[in-house]
Amino acid sequence: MSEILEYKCPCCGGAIEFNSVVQKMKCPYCDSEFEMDSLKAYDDVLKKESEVEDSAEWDLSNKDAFSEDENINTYVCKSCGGELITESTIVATNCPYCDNPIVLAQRVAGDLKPDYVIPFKLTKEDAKKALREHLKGKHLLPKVFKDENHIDEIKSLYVPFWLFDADVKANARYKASRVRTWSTGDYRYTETTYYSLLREGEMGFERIPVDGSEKMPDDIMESIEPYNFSEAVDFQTAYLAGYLANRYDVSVEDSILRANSRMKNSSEEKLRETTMGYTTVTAERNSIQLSNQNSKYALYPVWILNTTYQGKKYVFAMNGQTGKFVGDLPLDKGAYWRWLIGLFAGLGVVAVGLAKLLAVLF
Amino acid sequence: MKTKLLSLVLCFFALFSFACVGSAENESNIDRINDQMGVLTEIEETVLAELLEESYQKYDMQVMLITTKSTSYSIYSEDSAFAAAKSQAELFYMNTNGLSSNQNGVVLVYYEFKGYRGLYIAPFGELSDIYTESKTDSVLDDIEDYFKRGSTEPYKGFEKFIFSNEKVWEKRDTPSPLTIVIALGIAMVIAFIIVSSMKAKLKTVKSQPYANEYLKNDSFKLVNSRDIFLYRSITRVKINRNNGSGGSRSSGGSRGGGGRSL
Repeated sequence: MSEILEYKCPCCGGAIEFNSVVQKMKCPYCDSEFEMDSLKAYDDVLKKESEVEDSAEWDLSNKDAFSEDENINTYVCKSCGGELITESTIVATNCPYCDNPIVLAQRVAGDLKPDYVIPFKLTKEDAKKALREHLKGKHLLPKVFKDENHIDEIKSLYVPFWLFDADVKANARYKASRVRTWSTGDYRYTETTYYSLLREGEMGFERIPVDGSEKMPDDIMESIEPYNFSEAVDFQTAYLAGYLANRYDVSVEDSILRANSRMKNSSEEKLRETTMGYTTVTAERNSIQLSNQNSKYALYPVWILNTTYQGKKYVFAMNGQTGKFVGDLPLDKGAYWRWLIGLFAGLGVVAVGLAKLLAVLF
Repeated sequence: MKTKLLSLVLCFFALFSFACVGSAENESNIDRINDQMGVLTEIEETVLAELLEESYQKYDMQVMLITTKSTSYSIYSEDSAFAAAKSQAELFYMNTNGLSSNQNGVVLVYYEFKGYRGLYIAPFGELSDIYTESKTDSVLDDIEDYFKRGSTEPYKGFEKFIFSNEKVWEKRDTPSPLTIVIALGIAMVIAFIIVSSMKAKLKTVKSQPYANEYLKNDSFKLVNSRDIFLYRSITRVKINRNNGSGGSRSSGGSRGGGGRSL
């Protein structure tokens, strides 16, 4: 059984959504602004009302059509009555008919309820500006890729993340060498001394994020780190209004491996920093023991744009809080060779000229 | 009084003129051809002497030609023949003609010592740096055919040498082909580095293998640290000290140049 939350403006009844500029819920029709706390009670009322209505409707209308596919669900928009079909991971979206922001509250309830959310701080205009900046100055980028028409398709999305805390006890063993040279008489001597270095240390990690969505490429989500967690707030569904949002479909158990790997690498690097005064240091073995492990579930803001060029998919992502923008760009091979040959020709003339000048001077 | 003063001035000018003439005569007294083997006719010698004088006037460098069969050196190999030819060139250039080894010039020696026939080029002054191994080989390539056994045109060989030497002098400021290849190679490497950095700017997606930013402040504590000595190894290498026995850095005399047996 699912439910839809549609936030209505108490003043004019229009659909309100979270505004990243003022960091409040704002009605685009009457410009009224509402604090998050003041809407919390309203949020509870909406939930109670929708429970009563939805239970009767969903039971009768959807049972036969979608019993075969658990990943697809149908909802009816309260504003226009339009039917929308969503995947089970969608938590917030817009009605495709009237663009009304919709939050699917049951998908963020109980065990699925996020602990935290970092609200959007940057707007669509900021994202578009960042994308234009990202494409600027790239001489090897195909010109057709900079087509402005596509830029409007950039969309805001709350991405689910698992946040891991742990205290780490790390052990590492290194092989190190120290080299000394000196000359006596007709001989040059080289002395190499070998050591085994043992290091043991303790450290704590907090809120290591691991992308909980299978659809979102992990390397892109890691590229737009870090997020400033001090701006995270306790989750409220109102923050999702007006934005797309997914719930997790990668379990916390499956995400632990990635967090462990990052902690292990960082702890080894921290221990290596304590091996000073050697010519070479090579890690032979390292291990970590975790304690006080803890995991939380959060939604982080991302501006995202998918595009296809010459049959290959390109994804651009911007951290919706800090503005960090990433995305691999295609290479214009023609431009590559033109630049290489042109630079070689120019530098070659300069180099030969310099060689002639040196021949004259010396 | 005035007459005496005038006489003194005239005497001074006369002495100065004699000195100039004297030095000119000294210069023109330089013997640039020493044909001990008698391979050149009188006319050929005269023509060559004129060419050598022209070369001197044009480039201010002394070019000399020697043909010789006799030497006080003991000849038992090609290298000893080269050494003997070089010695003859130095004696002729510095002792016979009173020139300094720093004065620009070059001597071509056509020798025949106890079965060892060959040519040797002994440069002096700036030509010592110009006559590298490759340049020497190039000039010898130009002229050696005229001196090979059975050839009756050593005159043409000497003439060719005079012109080849002038070309070497004129092109002295031109970088060698190897220098140009190296310059182009460096240009290619720099161009490649620049374009590679432009290409690298297209890639901004990178996984984060570390979690350093999520390390709790001041939480790191080194609990245990031990450095255990394992073993030591000592190697030694003899230092190669170059005594300059090749003769290329010897003071005085000819350096650079080289010879070829025929």
